[in-house]
Amino acid sequence: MRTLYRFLVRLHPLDFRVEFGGEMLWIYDEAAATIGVFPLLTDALMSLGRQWLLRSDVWKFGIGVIVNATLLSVLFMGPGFRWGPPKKGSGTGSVQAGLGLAWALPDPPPHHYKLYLMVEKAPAWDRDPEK
Amino acid sequence: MKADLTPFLPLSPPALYILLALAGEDRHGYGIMQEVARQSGGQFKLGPGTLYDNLQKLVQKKMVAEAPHPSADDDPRRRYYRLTPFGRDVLRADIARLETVVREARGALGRVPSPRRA
Repeated sequence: MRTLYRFLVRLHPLDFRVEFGGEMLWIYDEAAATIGVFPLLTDALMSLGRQWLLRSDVWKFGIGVIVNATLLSVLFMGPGFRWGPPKKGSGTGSVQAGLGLAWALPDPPPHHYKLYLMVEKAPAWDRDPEK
Repeated sequence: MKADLTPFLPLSPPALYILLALAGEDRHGYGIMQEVARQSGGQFKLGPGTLYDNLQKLVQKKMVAEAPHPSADDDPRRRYYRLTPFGRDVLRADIARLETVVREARGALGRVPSPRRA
């Protein structure tokens, strides 16, 4: 279970994880026996959602993609645009082009958007104490 | 001149409890969790994720600062936090706000007749 908790901590945005990841694991070690593993795992899951959706500004990036995709799709389709199923050879390619461009248009996400799951070397706090 | 604390009020329940836990002495994260549970009679329990999410915000707003370890042989994984003077002012202002709420509530509830038994 500690491995699962550590994995959830590692999924947090980099800034938060570097700042507080070690302490979260330390509290897990101290409190798992008294508080219980399930509440700690639930809390880590909720924290994960909160950090990515509310604190990391990743939602701005998502909205940027959607807005850009919509605008560019409309732009590419021109006066023939209509809501509903695309006519043969009219809209689908444009939507795809719009989505592709929209993905490229927002500012490059800052480093904390990256998950760094497997590639980075585990920091000192993120190693099993028994090893 | 006193700073306008209105933008920082009202404090969220976790932030209020964290500031309250740090009002007496510097504490590490687990110490804050335990103190919050004690102060609330076990009714309000903070998990580590919620605690550090709120601590991050409180540190950014300069209401809480990191404090030095009280002893050299302390576990290096522990970090201690302390209430800043600004944090104390915000806490005082929120407590004053809550006192007003309680006073108003007592007055209002005193005027409302108790529900009759069926």
